[in-house]
Amino acid sequence: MDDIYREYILDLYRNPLNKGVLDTPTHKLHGHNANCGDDIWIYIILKDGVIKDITFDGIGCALCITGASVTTERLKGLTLQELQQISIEQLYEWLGLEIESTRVKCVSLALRTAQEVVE
Amino acid sequence: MDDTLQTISLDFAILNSRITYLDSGASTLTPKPVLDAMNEYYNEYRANIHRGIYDISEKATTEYEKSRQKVADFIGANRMEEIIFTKGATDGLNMLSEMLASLLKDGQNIIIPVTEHHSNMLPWRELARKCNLEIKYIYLKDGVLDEEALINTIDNNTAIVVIGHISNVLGTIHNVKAIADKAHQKGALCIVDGAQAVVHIPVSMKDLGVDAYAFSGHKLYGPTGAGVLWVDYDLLERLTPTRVGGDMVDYVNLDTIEYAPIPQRFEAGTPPIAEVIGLARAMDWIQSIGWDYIQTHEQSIVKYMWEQVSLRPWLKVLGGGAEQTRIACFSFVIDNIHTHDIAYLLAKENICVRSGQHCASGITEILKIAGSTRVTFGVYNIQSEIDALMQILDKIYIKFK
Repeated sequence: MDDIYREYILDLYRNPLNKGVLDTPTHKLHGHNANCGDDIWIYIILKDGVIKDITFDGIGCALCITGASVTTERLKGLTLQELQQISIEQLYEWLGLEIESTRVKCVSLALRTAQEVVE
Repeated sequence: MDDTLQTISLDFAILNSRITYLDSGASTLTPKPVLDAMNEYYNEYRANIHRGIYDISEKATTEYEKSRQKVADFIGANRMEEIIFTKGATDGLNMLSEMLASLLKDGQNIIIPVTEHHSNMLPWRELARKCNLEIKYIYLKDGVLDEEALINTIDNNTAIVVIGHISNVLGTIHNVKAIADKAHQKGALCIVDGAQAVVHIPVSMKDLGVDAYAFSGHKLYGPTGAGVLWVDYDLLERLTPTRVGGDMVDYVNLDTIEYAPIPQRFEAGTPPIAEVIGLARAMDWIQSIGWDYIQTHEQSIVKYMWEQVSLRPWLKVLGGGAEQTRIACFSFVIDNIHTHDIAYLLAKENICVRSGQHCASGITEILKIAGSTRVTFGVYNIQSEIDALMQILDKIYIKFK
């Protein structure tokens, strides 16, 4: 069975981090992968250009949900400028694995969606 | 494997590779006689049709028009002029919706089941928007299209009823004859997407009594790029071409356009000649195997799938249970495992399936699911491929549990 579905990836899929709706977000962003059905919302509380809190909600495959968990966990406390500089390679480093091209869209959906935020 | 299956498998070089191909509902594999027919065209009489007076152009025209007759016979059309060659089902349904616009009246309604493939939904929604038609959606009952509700919804104000002959997600066969009868009682047209049907069951336009029927060649063991729009001749006579240009006029000067006779007036531009010839050969190929064999074999696949599904309560098949008549098409969900993960892990084991909405987002929207994993079978599939599928599904289920 494929290597990318490691136990910690599946653990994060079963028990995701930062999943749920924020009551009073300053920003709410929608992310969608049309061909596979990943569909998430990112909630952000932004104050003085810094991400004070961030969550996600929605449905997605294991890589999408794991990617969203790790992304939201790592983005807390970053400035908008720092957020924009985060690359896909950085995400791979956080995840501890590299994802093949057919699944990059899944794993990076939360990051790409969060990066659309403007103050 | 019986002798016929052995012979069939020899026609598909691609089956020598290690793949388990369970995606024929998206596109069937292409048998050698179809490839040979297209090669013969390219190697021996490669020329445009209708225009040349030289031998190979005449030969191309003859083969192209013979293909039209073949298609007419295959689908039980009243006459060969009712066959319009298109790029595929989507192309044919778009073209028909464009041409019907001039026949519609403000405030009429159009009936669209939510189960429809986008190819038989979006052109009609666009038409409704342009012509100010009211859209009446028909929903599911007990997991399948509520055909009774559909029939009861047709009223004197209904202009068009569209229906897929067989759902590309649920695999269920709809009673289009009954729907067409009611539509006609109320003065409405009945337009059918036959993309999933023509490859699994014999169809006859004479018997179905519908007004138009569209399908693709590439889901019928034919090549990509050629399909058929069949339209009842009486309706064809009322339609005006919306695509104009080469090869569809009788006479043209700077003031006048006189269209060519039916059906040539509906085929502007050079058609996919090789593909049309290939499609006709695919129909010969199907008939050489015979519908009895195809249906018996495919229903044995359906039966075996249900046996295997019944051993796995976590495998939830959409579209009613085993008592529902269906073709060899199964879409399923497994709780807490996303369809994309399932398809990806199957792909890693060289098992080709489809995942997602299958271009029928109405079903996923109504059932409130992210999508489903779909396995569809052709006449070349065998039971051991279902065993291979189930073995990997078991592993996936355990891994994610």
